Amino acid sequence: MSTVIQARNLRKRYGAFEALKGCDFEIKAGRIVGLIGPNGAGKTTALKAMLGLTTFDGELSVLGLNPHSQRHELMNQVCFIADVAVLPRWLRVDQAMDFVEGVHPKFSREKCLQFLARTKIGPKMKVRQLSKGMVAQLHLALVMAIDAKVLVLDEPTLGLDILYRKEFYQTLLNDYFDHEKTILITTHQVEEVEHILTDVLFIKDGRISLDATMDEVGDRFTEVMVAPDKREQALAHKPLTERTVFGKSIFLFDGLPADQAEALGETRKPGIADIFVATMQGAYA
Amino acid sequence: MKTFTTLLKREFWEHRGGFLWTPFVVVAVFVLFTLVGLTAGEMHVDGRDFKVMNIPLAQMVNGMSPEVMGNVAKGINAGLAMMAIIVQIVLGIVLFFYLIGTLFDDRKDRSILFWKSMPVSDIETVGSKIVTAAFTAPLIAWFAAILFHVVMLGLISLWLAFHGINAFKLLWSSGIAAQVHPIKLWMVMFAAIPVNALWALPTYGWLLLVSSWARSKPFIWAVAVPMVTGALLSWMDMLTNLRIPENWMWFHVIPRGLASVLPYSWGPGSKSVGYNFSGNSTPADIISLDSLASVLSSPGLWIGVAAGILMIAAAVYLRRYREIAD
Repeated sequence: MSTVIQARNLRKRYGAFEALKGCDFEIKAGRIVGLIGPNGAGKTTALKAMLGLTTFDGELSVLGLNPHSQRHELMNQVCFIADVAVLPRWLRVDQAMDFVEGVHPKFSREKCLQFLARTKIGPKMKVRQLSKGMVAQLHLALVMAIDAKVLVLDEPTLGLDILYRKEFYQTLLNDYFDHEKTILITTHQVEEVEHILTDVLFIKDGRISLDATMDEVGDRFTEVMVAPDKREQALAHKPLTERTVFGKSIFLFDGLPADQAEALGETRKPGIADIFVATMQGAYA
Repeated sequence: MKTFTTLLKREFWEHRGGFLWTPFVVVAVFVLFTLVGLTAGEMHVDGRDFKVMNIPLAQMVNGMSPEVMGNVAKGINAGLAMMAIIVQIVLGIVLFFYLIGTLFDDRKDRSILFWKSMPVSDIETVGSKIVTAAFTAPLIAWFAAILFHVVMLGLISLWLAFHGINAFKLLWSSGIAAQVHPIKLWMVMFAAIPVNALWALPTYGWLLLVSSWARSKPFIWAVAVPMVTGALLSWMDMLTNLRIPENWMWFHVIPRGLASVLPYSWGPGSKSVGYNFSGNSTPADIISLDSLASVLSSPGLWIGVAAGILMIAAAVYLRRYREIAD
């Protein structure tokens, strides 16, 4: 599989603050990668660097291009939705289509119209008349009608209601994603995207703290519900976290073999959100 | 090419109000006031017997000597040019606010994140804004001025007809007609569009630079930086014997950077930038081939062009490196 994005010792400094402290990662084609981290961990900075919106130190290549010096060539292959509601408020829906059609060689107006036909958005409506959810639908329709290799989504559903959020990811998965495309998503609403991800990248304090496929995550992390009498035994395996529910302890282990885990009690596959919370302890301390 | 025309359309969509409606609304307001004025005038004097110094108008017009006709023609030419300048001043004001906001507003409302997600280079983006200011908006204003002339000449012809004067004969085929040249004026105005753009280049450059650089309040920065610099230089000038020649900063640098976006502000008679009408610099003298030739051959124009290009390059650079302004 070909590498789409490659970072080596990626760093970014804003004055005295070091937002990225040397990140190494590689994203392959045909994956849906979740870039997950607490506020201020460097997610957005990393995305901005990949999209050529900011300068950086270290090495970074996206589809073999330097995103900063070759931004506009890169944008032929890469689409992004950076945040909800960045479409200009004065723009009309048909003008938005005319614009993208005029500047983007890989835009298909028919596709865009098909996506819009499923919404309540009319061609003569202005962005300022649309609700936040409709703006996200419009932006997604514009972007999905572009046959790009990489799609980057930065908090694409922030502030939308649950119906729009569900529909957003559903459309993305059913109508857009295929094995030629790569999607990179950052979001705080981890539960809503984890079932569509193939890979996760955790970022903490400007460093990558976990880089794994979802299968690896499933193998590595185990949650065990342990009865009080086995608690000491469980602690000996160095769990990441412990919480107590109805008098029983629930431990999260990283790399505990399955047979040992089952010997301790009832096991369960933890969600990404649980692992996120466990590994990010102390992020704001 | 398709990209660039799309960018030009984009600018027009966003600024339709300023570029299209403003000049036509101004023309409409002037026409309306003229109508009100003429109607009120008719009600004051006794209908058809409009007299100037006790001579009925028709009799006066028909008995004009060639010399008087020449003066009347001169007056009409100056009036037409003045109407054009009114539209041009409005255009200059619209362009000033367009340029100061154009690289700032999208950083403020974050829509730059959408524009930058498209395969468009920063040079193309800034270039589309310059072409819009230099050609799209002035062409629309040119049409508005022509419409203004046609409507006003029509109104005056009607008014004259009302007083028993054959306006067609008077305005279009008499000794006056031979000296009134609206079509020539329109052609000169058309030729002046690129000259005005060259003249305005330092202002384009300065406003785009500030628009691209400011994190907030670009208008204040654009005006305050030159003013404070000028004041400091004058202060130094007063304290020391460092004589900056002819108040060069106040007369040339600052006005060129802020106000040469006003078309024809190079005019004969004006000291640096602005309009100064007098006997031999009537509006008709300002909008003339002689005046275009004299500005094109002045070193000040070309120094301004060079300064403008440098500032535009800096604006493109900042467009690339500057982050959003929220």
